Amino acid sequence: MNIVVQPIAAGKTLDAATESNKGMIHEAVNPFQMVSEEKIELGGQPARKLIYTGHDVNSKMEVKTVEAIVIANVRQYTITYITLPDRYPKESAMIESILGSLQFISDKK
Amino acid sequence: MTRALILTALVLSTLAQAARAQVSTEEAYRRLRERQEEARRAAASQPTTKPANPSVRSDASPARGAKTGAAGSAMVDFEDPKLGIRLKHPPMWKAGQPGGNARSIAFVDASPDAKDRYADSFSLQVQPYPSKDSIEVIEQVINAALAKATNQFKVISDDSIQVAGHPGRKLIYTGHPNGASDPRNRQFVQALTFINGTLYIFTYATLPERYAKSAPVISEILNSLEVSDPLDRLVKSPSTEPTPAAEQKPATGAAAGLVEYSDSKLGFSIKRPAKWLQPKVNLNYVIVFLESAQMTRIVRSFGPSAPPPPRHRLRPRPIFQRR
Repeated sequence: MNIVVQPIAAGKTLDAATESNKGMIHEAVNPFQMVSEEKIELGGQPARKLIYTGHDVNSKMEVKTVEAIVIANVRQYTITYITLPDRYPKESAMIESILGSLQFISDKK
Repeated sequence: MTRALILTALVLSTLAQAARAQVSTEEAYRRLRERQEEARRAAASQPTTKPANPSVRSDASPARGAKTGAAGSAMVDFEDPKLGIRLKHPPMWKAGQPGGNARSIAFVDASPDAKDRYADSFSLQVQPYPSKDSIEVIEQVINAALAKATNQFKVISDDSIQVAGHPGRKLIYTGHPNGASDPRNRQFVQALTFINGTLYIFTYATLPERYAKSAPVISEILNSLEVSDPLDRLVKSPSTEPTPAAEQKPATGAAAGLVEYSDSKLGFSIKRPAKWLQPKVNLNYVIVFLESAQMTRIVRSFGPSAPPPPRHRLRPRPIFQRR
């Protein structure tokens, strides 16, 4: 699992950020198949959750990826969780717990 | 430009180490003789080189790690887990970290017959270097810096070699390091390799007239060099920085086995599996959690100190171990 935090250009929307991420999936997972795309809420902010499967170009293995994108504090947060497809059912509850635990610290103040 | 400055600094540091090693030879020799005298008095049969850094292991006992090499003398095993290096060096060479630089190790010939002559020395620098340049490009920059830092700089040879099993460059040159007190020219052998964002610079210094005698020793040292993948070390060494107690709150229910990770600089907190590793990544905008150390390519794909993203560089590339 990794979390990438990037400054986001003023005015860039969540939809634009999501489309940008989707446009680059094939560079790491190719071919890939989008399993689902949902509008969710993370840390009190609108977010997108992508689930896709495919062939990881580096490890040469089939993987299942859950990718959540959210914008807060003028930053884009991308949380990417990768597992094997056959492990996903066992891990999905934990993934949801992890995503559900996300909080933005400035929001606490 | 920044990279050139980093490399220039490395070159100057290497040359300074060579100069310092020379200055310290006398002191090293004196200490070694004292130890030898003590050892003789205690009827010990073998001298032992002792590293300056206690984390460094240098076993000078022929019975445990030495072998007779091309140089005609028993070589001594040396290992520094922090630098991730292992090599063999001639017996009675003294190891130390010049200037307290934790990213380098230097050795100087402290054998008795080195007392009245220029003592050979070598150093190995292990330096994170934020570049995706080829070793050839890096060498060109280093050579340009060497030429500026060395009077009468003259290249003897410049070849492709394998350094610790990785593509590298070997430069043999002569010259006089700027500022060195000893007026004699030196002959240097510099071997470079670049592994996953870490630059390894081996520099051996001798006198031109001694080079023929030293060459087999240099070859033995270089051939013995082993380095661990810096990213493997990264992953196998989860952060040793303690997480503040307030940030490790055990969860319950579906979140059992999760602990909270909090990063005030990046402005978020999240729960993550308690037993997962958190390798240090030299990118302050990326946090990585790994279930096991086998998944090194997640980190590998980032590259240490890589420039700010395009996003695709941050795609995780895991290696999974099927159970």
